[in-house]
Amino acid sequence: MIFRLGKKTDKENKKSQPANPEAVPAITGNSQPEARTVKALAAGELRRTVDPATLSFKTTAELEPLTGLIGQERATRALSFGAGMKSNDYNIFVLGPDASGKSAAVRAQLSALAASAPVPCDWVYVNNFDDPNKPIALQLKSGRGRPFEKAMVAAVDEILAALPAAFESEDYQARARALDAEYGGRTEEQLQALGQKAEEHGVALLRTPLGFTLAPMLEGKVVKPEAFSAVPPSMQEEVRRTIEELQVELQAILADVPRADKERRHHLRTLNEEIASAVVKDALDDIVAAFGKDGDVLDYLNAVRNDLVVNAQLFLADPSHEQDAFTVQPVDSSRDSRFRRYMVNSVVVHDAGEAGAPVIEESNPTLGNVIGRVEHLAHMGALVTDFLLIKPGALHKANGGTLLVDARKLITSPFAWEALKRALKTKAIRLEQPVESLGLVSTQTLDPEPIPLDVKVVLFGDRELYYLLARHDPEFQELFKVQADFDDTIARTKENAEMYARLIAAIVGEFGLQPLDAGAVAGVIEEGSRMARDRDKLTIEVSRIGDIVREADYWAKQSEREMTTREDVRRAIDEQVQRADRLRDRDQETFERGIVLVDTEGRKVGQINGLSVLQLGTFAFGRPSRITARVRFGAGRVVDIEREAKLGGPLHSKGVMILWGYLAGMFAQDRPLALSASLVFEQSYGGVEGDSASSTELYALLSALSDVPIRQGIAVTGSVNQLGEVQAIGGVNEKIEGFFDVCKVRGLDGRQGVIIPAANVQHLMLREDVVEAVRNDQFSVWPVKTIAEGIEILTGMPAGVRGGDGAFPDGSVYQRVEEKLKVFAERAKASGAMMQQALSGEASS
Amino acid sequence: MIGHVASSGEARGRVVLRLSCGAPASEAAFEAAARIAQAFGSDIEGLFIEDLQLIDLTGYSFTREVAFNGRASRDLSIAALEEEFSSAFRAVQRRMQAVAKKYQARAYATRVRDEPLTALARACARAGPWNVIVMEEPLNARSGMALSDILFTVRDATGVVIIGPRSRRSRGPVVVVVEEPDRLISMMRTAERLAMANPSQEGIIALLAGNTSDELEWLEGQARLVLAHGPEPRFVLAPPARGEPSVIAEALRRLSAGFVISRFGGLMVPADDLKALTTALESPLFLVR
Repeated sequence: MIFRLGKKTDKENKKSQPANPEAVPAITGNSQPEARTVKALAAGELRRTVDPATLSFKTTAELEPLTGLIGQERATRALSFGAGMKSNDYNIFVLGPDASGKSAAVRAQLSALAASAPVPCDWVYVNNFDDPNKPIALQLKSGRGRPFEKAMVAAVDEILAALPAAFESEDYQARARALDAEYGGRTEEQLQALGQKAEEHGVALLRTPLGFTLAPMLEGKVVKPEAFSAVPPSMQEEVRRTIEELQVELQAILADVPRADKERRHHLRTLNEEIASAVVKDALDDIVAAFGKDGDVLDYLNAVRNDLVVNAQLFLADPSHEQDAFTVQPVDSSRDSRFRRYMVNSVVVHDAGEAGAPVIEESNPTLGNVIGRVEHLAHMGALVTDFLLIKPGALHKANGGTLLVDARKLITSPFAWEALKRALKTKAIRLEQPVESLGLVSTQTLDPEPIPLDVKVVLFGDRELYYLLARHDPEFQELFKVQADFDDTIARTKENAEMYARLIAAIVGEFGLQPLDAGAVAGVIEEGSRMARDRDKLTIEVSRIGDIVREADYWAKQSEREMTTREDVRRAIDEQVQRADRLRDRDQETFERGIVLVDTEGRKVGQINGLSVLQLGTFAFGRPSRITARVRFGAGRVVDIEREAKLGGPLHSKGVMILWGYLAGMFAQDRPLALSASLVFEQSYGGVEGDSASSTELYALLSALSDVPIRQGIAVTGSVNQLGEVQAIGGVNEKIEGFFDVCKVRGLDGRQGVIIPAANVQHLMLREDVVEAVRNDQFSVWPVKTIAEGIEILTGMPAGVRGGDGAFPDGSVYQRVEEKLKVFAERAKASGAMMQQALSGEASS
Repeated sequence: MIGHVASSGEARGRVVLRLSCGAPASEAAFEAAARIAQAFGSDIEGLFIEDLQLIDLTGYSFTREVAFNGRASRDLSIAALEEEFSSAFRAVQRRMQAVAKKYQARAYATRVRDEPLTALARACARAGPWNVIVMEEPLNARSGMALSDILFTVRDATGVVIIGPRSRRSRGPVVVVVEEPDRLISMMRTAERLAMANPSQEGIIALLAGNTSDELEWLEGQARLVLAHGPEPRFVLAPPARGEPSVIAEALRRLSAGFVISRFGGLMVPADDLKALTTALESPLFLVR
């Protein structure tokens, strides 16, 4: 036998004895099959290390901290494109893993783009004097909102000081008195004259709560009815007649009072407006000159002027009389409830020196925080509001620029997502109160004028959410046409490694850590590849990288080092694992104590070690599982016991079904496959998913069919197709390390190892202790491309290749399998003939 | 007089606000009563007088009540009148409480059926002698005589505050008409307390009315002495009014007086023909005996 498995295989084969469980069965037959040569991987192939000497720096202190992204050209181009498209439907969805630092990087990139954009206009809400429930939105040039607000306060202050003085002026008082004298005095005089006339006729004019009355009078006092009845009837009659005549006159005088009063009030109002107009004009003229050309400000100021003139008495009244106002805090005119209607609510204002368009990030995207809200105040048991209680949302602040929002938070916040879409579609920010539309409240509210919207919305989310939205929300794709897809990893090139080092320098700077030397940076880069589960990639999970750097800094300081070294990085990683691997320890213990049965030495027929990975948060570890196969003559079926027990997932079941295809194609081209086989993951109680054990199961099946024992010191992972090609799987590092740990505890004997798909070699970033064991010939990793290669390593026998006669060579595994299947087929044929005979016998009798 | 309370620093006295059952009381009357009560820490008694003469009227078959708007008239019955009294009383009670609350003064209302002058005298006698009567200017032309009657009949009142039909001004300085030494101290003290209790009074003006310059200087010196530790008064010479109401009213108006304190029956406010003055005044007029 010339079959070799790298440098250890020969040694192993020499030890084989038939009586020994590890013995290789004798190869019989005419021809000696040729074995393939699969070399175990050298230690250097198991982990891609970084030589600190190849790095261009000694410590991170020499590096310029990185700002921005590394190796995300696709995403950055998408961002630039999305930011440049001036349309309401070209919003951006940033896809990518959490904690990758993409938010900060996107913000930095968009901020750089926004810096050269113009500063957007200011927006203020003001009172609508025609309909106070519909406040008016005014647009002002950038930086003029706040001055406008202050100018209005100053104008009110000025009117507050000037108006009372104007109304107390000599001119006004004289004219007002003249009006009083003309209208008020006229009635008074008429009543006095009537009273005098009545007195002359012995009649008194008296006031009652609701009017006037007349009565007989003597010496200034009303004559009592008893005394009056004593007066001669003729005199009584005369008094009665006089009183009736006076009553007619009284009625005429009083009937004229409302008309006269109306006239007086009209003239007084005209006078008041004349006086107030002059004061108001003086106060507003400066504002008109300064702001009159901004949007609709002039119209608003005209409305203010009219209202101030009509309501000049507001400025004359004592503020404490304003019982109807809902806040009485006359600290200054801007807080005096009487003058709220003249104030300005600066919803969005920019400082005069501000440059560029805004880039706003909303970390709590509730409905109110996104589109703004109308707040209420409790007053006398009711909720009241006005335009000054309109609070801006993130859309207001980002208007003219960019808004960054976490998609998941937005969608899970009631009404917020719908409101954002509505705003984008209508290109306007309309304040909505969802509770009103649901009919839940009946308090006073506002319908403010919508503000035109020109914003670029950038949503952050994972891919699952993106595809979920794309599938279920037709408006999503209509409005978010740009996807900036961030890779989870980046290529591990020399340039990217240098950038990685600068990223580490940025983390050092951000957290005020001590610098890392080149060795430590090399350690972090290697760990970045391990996290990426690919030796040629680097993870961009910045927060996890940051954790390692910060923890390494801690351990360096504990060791009183002024520089973080590779040793500190290693310790940080080990400590992280140690903190998280309680369950792995317990799992390992079950192997040590023989609770979970896994052999790591000897040979057995139909039994093999498979590998699986358990993921616990960010920590994952591998563990071996015993897989067994039993075969017998049967109806042509491979029974997947996991599936039968409903513990196997669909991918696992698919893998098992592929085995049947392989066997049929390989061994049953011209005869029925009269095989019944059962496969089981022993001591598996939690379910099995994935097809990474399908090659393992096939090896077990081939062993059972050929009666050739399998080396138990080898564990296997890899999926297989119908052609017998071994395909790549995930978690290769954890799986190898999981089996290594079990073997290490039991003692490494140099014959142990793991068979992996050759396609997974590029993903190997094994732990340093595993690499060291391989370097010392204590452990092996074999990459295989086909089942034939794998079965030869496992059995020490050649798999066999069909010769010109169509038969496998004697002594090969496949020849033994084919023989067994031939026997099953003949038995099936015989039992079929017997059945036929029995059936025809029944028919003839 | 209430000036005694002021000069001695006592917090006593009572403000009797005469509430006529006829014309509804003006806001200025309530305000004036409350400001005095606030300044002196006094109670306000709103005295609602149901004039007996009106009760007598209900005995006539031919007398009718003509409404203020002149559009309707009706027979006066005792039941209707009592209903009107009750409703008017409740209304003034509410208004009085609101104003008293604003000035943080204590107030209560009483309702009596009597002849008005007698009712006032009895009310003041109940808690005399430091009463100030606040009343609106009477309708009849013989107001001067009527006021003399009041001051003669109501022994337990130290003075009367008259609210004219135009007495709407509440802001402005307290103007004290200083014309003789007897009442100078108490009047200045009263002005001081009014001005200090209410910032809207904007200080004190002493309107000096004397026959000679020596007399005027002496009055000014005395007034300064009284307020040596209080707000510094402004001194203004009174015009030679000689009791001419229009001249006096114009002088007070020019000073933007928020409250006027004067002696009844003196040079500036003679005892006769008060009607012309009170009609023209724009602020309350506190007449002391």
